Amino acid sequence: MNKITFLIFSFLFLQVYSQEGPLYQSLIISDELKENANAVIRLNEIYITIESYDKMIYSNKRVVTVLNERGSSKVGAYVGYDNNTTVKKLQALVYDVNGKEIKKFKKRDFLDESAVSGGTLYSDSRVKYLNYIPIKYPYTVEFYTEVEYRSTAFIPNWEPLEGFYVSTENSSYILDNKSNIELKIKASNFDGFNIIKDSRLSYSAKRLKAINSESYSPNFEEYVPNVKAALVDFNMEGVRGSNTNWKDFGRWINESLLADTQNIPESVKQEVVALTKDAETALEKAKIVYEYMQSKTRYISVQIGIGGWKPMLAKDVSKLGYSDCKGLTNFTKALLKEVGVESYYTVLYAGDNIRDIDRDFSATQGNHAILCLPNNDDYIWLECTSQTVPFGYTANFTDDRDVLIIKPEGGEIVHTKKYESIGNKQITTSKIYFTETGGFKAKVSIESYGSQYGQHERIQRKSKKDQKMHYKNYWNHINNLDVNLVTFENDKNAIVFSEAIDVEVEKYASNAGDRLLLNPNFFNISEIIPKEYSYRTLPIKIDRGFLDIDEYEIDIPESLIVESLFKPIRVSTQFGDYSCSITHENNKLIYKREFLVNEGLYQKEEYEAFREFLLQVAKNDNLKIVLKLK
Amino acid sequence: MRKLITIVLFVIVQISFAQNFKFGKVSKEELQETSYMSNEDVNAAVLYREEYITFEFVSDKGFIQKKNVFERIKIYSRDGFKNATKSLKYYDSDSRNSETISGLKAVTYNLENGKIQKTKLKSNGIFKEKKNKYWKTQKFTMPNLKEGCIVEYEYTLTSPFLGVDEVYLQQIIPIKKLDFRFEAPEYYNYKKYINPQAIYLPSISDEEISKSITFSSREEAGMGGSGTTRSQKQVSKESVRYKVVKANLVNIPALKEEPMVSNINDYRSKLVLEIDFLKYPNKPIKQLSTTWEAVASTIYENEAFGGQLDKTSFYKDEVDALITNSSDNFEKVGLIFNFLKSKVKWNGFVGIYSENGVRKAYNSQTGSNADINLLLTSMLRYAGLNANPVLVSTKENGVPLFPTRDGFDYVISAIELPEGLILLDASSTFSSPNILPTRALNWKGRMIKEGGTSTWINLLSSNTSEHKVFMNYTINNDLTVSGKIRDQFTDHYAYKFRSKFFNVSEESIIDVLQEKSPELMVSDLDIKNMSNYKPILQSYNFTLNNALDKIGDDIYISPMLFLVSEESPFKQEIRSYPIDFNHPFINEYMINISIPEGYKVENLPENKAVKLDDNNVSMFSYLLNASEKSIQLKVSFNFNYSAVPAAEYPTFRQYYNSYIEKLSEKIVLKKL
Repeated sequence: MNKITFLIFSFLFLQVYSQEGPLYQSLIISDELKENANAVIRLNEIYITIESYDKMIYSNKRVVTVLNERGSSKVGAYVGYDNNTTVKKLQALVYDVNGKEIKKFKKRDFLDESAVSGGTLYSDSRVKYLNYIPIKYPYTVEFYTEVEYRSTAFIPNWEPLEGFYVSTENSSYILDNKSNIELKIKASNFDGFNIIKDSRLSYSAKRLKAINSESYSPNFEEYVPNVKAALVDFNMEGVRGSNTNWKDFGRWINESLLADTQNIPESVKQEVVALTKDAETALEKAKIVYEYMQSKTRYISVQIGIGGWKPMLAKDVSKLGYSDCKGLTNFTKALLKEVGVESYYTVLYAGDNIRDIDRDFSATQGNHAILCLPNNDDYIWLECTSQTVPFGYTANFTDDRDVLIIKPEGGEIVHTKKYESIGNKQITTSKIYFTETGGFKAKVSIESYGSQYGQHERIQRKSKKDQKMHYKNYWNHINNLDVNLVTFENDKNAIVFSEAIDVEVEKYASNAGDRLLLNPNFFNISEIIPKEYSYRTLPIKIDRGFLDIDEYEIDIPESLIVESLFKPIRVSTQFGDYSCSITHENNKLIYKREFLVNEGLYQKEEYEAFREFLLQVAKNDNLKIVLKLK
Repeated sequence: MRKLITIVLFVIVQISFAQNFKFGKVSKEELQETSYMSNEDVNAAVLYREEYITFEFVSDKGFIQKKNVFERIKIYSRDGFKNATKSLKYYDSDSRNSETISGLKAVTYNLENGKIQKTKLKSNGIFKEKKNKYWKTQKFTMPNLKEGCIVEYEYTLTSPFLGVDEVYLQQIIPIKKLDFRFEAPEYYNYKKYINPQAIYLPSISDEEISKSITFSSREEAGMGGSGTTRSQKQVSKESVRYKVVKANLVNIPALKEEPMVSNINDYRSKLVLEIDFLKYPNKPIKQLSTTWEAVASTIYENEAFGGQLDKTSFYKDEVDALITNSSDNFEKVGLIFNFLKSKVKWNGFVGIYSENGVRKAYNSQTGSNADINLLLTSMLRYAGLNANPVLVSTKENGVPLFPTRDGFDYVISAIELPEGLILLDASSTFSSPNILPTRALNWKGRMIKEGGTSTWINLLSSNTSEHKVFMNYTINNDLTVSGKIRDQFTDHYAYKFRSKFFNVSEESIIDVLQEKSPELMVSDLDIKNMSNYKPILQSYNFTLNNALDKIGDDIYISPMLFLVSEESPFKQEIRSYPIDFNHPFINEYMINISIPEGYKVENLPENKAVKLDDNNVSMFSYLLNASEKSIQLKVSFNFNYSAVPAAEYPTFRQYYNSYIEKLSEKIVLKKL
């Protein structure tokens, strides 16, 4: 049966081949598809046959015309594999601009390498890829692969638009479910795109224009068309699983991936029990255990077999003192269990960009694991891969997003803590002694809170030399800055980071004859200038807001007189507020500044106003005053 | 009784030395140490490293190279944990001539409640990975790391080869004590070199010892005409002299990393051992070490090098057609160079030998750097030019310490003309005659002539690369500035410009230009000579908001606007290594400013000219001239060498900062 299907399939393939000669010519691509494109997906046919819960055949014919060097990464002629995968067919043909075949690659001509990403010590995943050196642009690559997977937990999605600066002429996605297992489907973001749904399991797209990348925009996957598929009964690297909904899928994760990994050595049990014996609340205990885990472990990623989803055994983590996010999270969970504190293993998309787990579609999603600690009606989130982050701190990496928590009774989607704009605060104060030659000496203190805490806190772990370098770069508008003394205070309970820095520079203000032109905003000049677009096409997304407060007291020598100051400035918009002022008393100048940016989602029409606001800030951050020699 | 005394003595000896440099003999004192010689920036240090290389006689195989490595690393803080992950690379092509790693063991030591706790690295914590056809690695990371812990590992690398890996006497963390020993039997004679560019220079000593070795070999003895053979084992015991090279070093400073260094390995303290000659008893000397002359000649005689230079049949027709109407040598060079660049693309591989022959490279239209430039040389010769291949060591390969084939990893082509040498590299898309890609601008080149004789040639460009800017602008009533800029880039500047912007859309180039200032708008961009070798000419119009400060009735303006960044790139106070500019340069700015109606010049910065020193290394000048309607400014900055030595860096930094400071001075215009 299989053999026959295969024969029919390859016959069809040959027919398509002979009929569509023009596919390989680069000249005939329409201008609308070439606009803003580095590559054009001429054809992408994905055909997935699900034979049973543990057998899936993926076949893909793909024709890509690369218009220039930057389009080469879109050829996509590669296939990843591991012990549960058999690459049955792999072939590529290269055509020149006229559609003439110039090179042919058979399976053995593909390079084979370990698919180790940065930060991973070892992984048994490998990749076979085409290494073709283009002679001329444009050129076209036709790629054909057929792969048999024993794991059906990760059915390839369909994303007919494959990224920025690439257009799609034809793309199709057909799922052929020969098993009796229910196949769940979710199609999103079809509106406004030329997509045809032939049936629940068959989709095609035609002439999708390339999209430009725009700053301050939502995540790509939130607005481009895609189809996701997942089996209700699946196989993950030899483990049978079930997934009718999140609850069910979560229960499976708990029972099949987590349950047998929780044992820890008796000595470690006793250690954590002893450490927490005087702690009164569950929260206190959790904090002690969390800090214990931080002191005992480090992040090292080793991915073997089902390692992509199943954590390393807690007892191995305990012994080795290292693991990846899954292993460390699970280890912490196991430790907490020993002191009677309940916690939930959590799966999510991590990163500075906020990305949700799709709550409407239960499936293998996410790229990271953290631990969830129920606390009355709320949750506390623990990042277990960092040895330094304060208890419950999640800003900039796992905050403000939908995540999957695994409770004993099953999975559940909840939202993580959001860091509000005014809480993401940075307060800079300074006492400055200005000299008559235009230099200064100053003591600067910076306190940071919320998401800004995370951006500053890491400085303390640099070497003394690099710390000095950090401040030279942080204040890069001051040349030849001498950084003399740096001290830190890291309050991990209140989550406040304080820096105290002594600096000195011979020349800061610029000369204009016997006058000195001085920018009194010594230490916090905004450099955020959003790019200008003639046609903004995407909405504005600001993931996290912030608030900067600055106050400097500037001591002016008696030999200088203040010739000119500026009037107070106040700018107020829906995107945030800005103010700055300078006042003169005796021999002192007082400079004050406040800059607030609100997080939020705004319509694309507002972009110019948003840009204007930040330009105003940059401009006012550069206002100067004039001092004159007596 | 005697036994007991020995044991007691042994124990006493153990106690009196806090540090015992044997695997497993980690002391409490070492575990209690909290910093490396009170330096808090050191997060890990090698307490002890032993590297012992010898040749052992193995029956039927002869002398086999064995390298034993043992290292004890102290980790002071979490940031030092990365030093407990190791990757050991070894040559293994699954053939008989492969290297092996054996006896790998490793232990982590922690002090728990005053007791030393050991955690062993298990074999399932060692990951073997096949890198490619020739190389494999064994990777591991140590278990149970805690701040203050010590890790130890040791292994033996067995190699069938005579070549000895470079011996690193310096690491990115400090080494407290290092014992190195190299022994070679009298039959193998090595020369030693230490890296003269290193800041830390080790002391190395020699000695001679003798070892008793039992030789055994099988001798095949024929048994008459019957065709059967029988092997006979011969055993003899002999005393063999060994020459020893050793280093016993303490307190080796860490190898500092710095920005703007082409290859940090060029400054690492290291020992290189080169096989000089073989001398077996009763046999003539077999010379293996060599001179650069001989290295070049050997390479030339290789079929994959010299043999590729006279293969013409496959390109003949095309080259004939190309140059048929050309009688000028320069024109022929240009035609062939461009033809080959578009015909055969570089596949990213470097090397001195053609991979599969130049014919194959030509037909498949891709090849290694050697394929392409051997082909280029061949074509130029075919066209009647005096072209020769030149061996080069890329920046990645560094500067070789002694004559060796490995000292070269790259090939370019040179043409000798009465006007001088023309250097060509057709493997780089944007290189032009005498403008080599940055990777090839290293050390010097060895040009090999027909017949195999060779000479050194200079690769570093003595040509000054120029960037000239003509800028005209007007200050408008609304205090914006509008104007026009014309740029000219020559030589390496043009090379960099093409590398960055070739085939890049106008829109994207404008984006890059606009990044120089927040409210800069660029229009009417025009770029000439992108696809030939003439200087790049770029012109555009611009408008700029916020270019000036209006305070009261006065206008303050930095006349250079956005042309030179007012942020100094030289932030470090001192440097350990030179700054590599790759080529001499001159930057020149001719600026004409129209004074707005109703204003007059209130203040002009003073003219200034400053020399870096008295040796004509570098100079800048700033010349202003004002009339009623306009201001002219001419600024020039030149640098006549291709690098700033580390010792001169502080002076250079101060000098460069005074240049930027001068540029930031304001012109003041007053309302009439």
